[in-house]
Amino acid sequence: MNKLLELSTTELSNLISTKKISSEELVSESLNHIKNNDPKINSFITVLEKDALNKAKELDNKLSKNEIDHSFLTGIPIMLKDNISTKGIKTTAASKILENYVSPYDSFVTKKILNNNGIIIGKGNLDEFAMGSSNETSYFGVVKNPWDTNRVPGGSSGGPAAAVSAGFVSCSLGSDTGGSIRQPASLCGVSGMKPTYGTVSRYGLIAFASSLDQIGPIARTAEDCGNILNVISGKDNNDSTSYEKDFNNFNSKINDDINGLKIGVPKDYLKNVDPKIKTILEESIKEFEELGAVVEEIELPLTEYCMDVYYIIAPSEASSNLSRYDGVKYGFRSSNKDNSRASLVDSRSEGFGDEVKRRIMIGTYTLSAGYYDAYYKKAQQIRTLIVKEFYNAFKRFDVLLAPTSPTTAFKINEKTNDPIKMYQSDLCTIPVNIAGLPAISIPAGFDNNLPVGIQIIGPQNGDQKVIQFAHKFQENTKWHLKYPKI
Amino acid sequence: MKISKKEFENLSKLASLSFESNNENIVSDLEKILSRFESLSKIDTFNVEPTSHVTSLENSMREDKTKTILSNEEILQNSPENTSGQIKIPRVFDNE
Repeated sequence: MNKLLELSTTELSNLISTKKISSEELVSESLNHIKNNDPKINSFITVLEKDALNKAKELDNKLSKNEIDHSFLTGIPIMLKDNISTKGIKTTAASKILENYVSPYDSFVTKKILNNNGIIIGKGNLDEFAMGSSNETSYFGVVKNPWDTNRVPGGSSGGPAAAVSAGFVSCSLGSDTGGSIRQPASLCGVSGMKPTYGTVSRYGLIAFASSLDQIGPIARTAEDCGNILNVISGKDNNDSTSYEKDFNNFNSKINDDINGLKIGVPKDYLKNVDPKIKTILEESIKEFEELGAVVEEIELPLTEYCMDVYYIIAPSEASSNLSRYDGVKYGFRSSNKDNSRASLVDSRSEGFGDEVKRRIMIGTYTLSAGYYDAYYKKAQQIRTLIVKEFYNAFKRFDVLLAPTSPTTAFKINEKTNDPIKMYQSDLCTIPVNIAGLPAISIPAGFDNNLPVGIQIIGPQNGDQKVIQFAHKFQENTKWHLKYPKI
Repeated sequence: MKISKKEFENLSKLASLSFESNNENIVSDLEKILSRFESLSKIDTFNVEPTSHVTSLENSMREDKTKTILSNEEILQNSPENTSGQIKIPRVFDNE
């Protein structure tokens, strides 16, 4: 692999701004690497070969004439998860029901990237409608983990995480509803951040569970994640839950010392975690202590209920959001033309995969008359208590430190027949979405040559602190610089 | 917990999904998953307000004005079947 492809987005951005490399050179190297090696990984659903090269040439030309200002993503190839709408380009959500859907509009983040002269090099594979933890529910086939192609990359942003890990791109955008950025980032040995809910507009993100969904970056380093968030965040009138931060630079704290700052380690997160991952977490704790942080244990007893609260709220919202797929206005339509009701039911039944149907059924049950109070309302009430539990924890601590995933990457097909076992892959990431908090997963070690991530969780709008801690860790460790051989 | 055949049929109807043959797996998966949720009844939520979203934003409204976002052609380009600028669907009422 060309050395250029091992660099972080921040390094590449500097090379382009100082004209040491051209965008065309970088995009060509990326495309070559994708062409030669993505068939082994399957991280892309769509590669925009011609568009990306033409755009790079055009940008180089404009940059040489000083016709455009350089901004962070200028000339940088980026992959977008294929549930992020891109005008004139297929946006499939890795579902048969949207197999041939070409979005007629750009999402908010797509527009932001294009306005900043970033280069969308392709669309990333994912679990169908972002529902899964292994990328095995994709209609376009499983993504393979670049560290071991017999294993899953995690999910649902399996493509975006694997593509950064393999060096196809230096950065990508994923979405995170219950861990879908952080868990694959952990399993693929890259950095992935879910910002505070409301940081990035969800306009044009194909909806899964609207009160939990959040777009975020996957890249080499925490610093990259901050720089990308600077580009894609902000208030958007098309998403009433988005808002402007009272700061404008996610990286403005990265040079600040963490000496004397406090880290809480919630022991309730360690119950079902592999011993080797606990060991790596302990080593990370020592690293932070050497950097001057004060580390203490903390109890978050509601943690054990988070998975059940999530598996009521997320499917409930999904069952409502996915009712729009009816085979009428867009998407797959069944060949059954008996009447419109039969067409609707068959279009959905033939168009959705098993996991999506399972979640629609759960959500339909928990929202149905007679069960709403016992399930959906109850889960929302417990959600209030979980938010409070975190709020109180952050009175004592600057950030929390936990494993990202209870295990390293598991074998393909290992968990496909047991949905509950699969759901447990997200035990450590789900609570963050329930409370709308920012969290990053960064590489912190290896078990049997498989990467292990740790998760730094901040209070609401504590995104800068999360990046600060992660950056300090990466300044003093080399785990994020390891590459798989593919 | 058990889901009766009648209950499952009603649920499928509400979800607009059909599981023709071999629906044992989905039924048993649902039973297992829904059984887990019973543990939540242990938590006292008396007088606790439900949280539907976690931002503290209130009345995040826009002006109630119409605007054209997509043209007719753009909307129709993804429709499975269209005719004379309109989306075509199978008939709504069965023949008598």
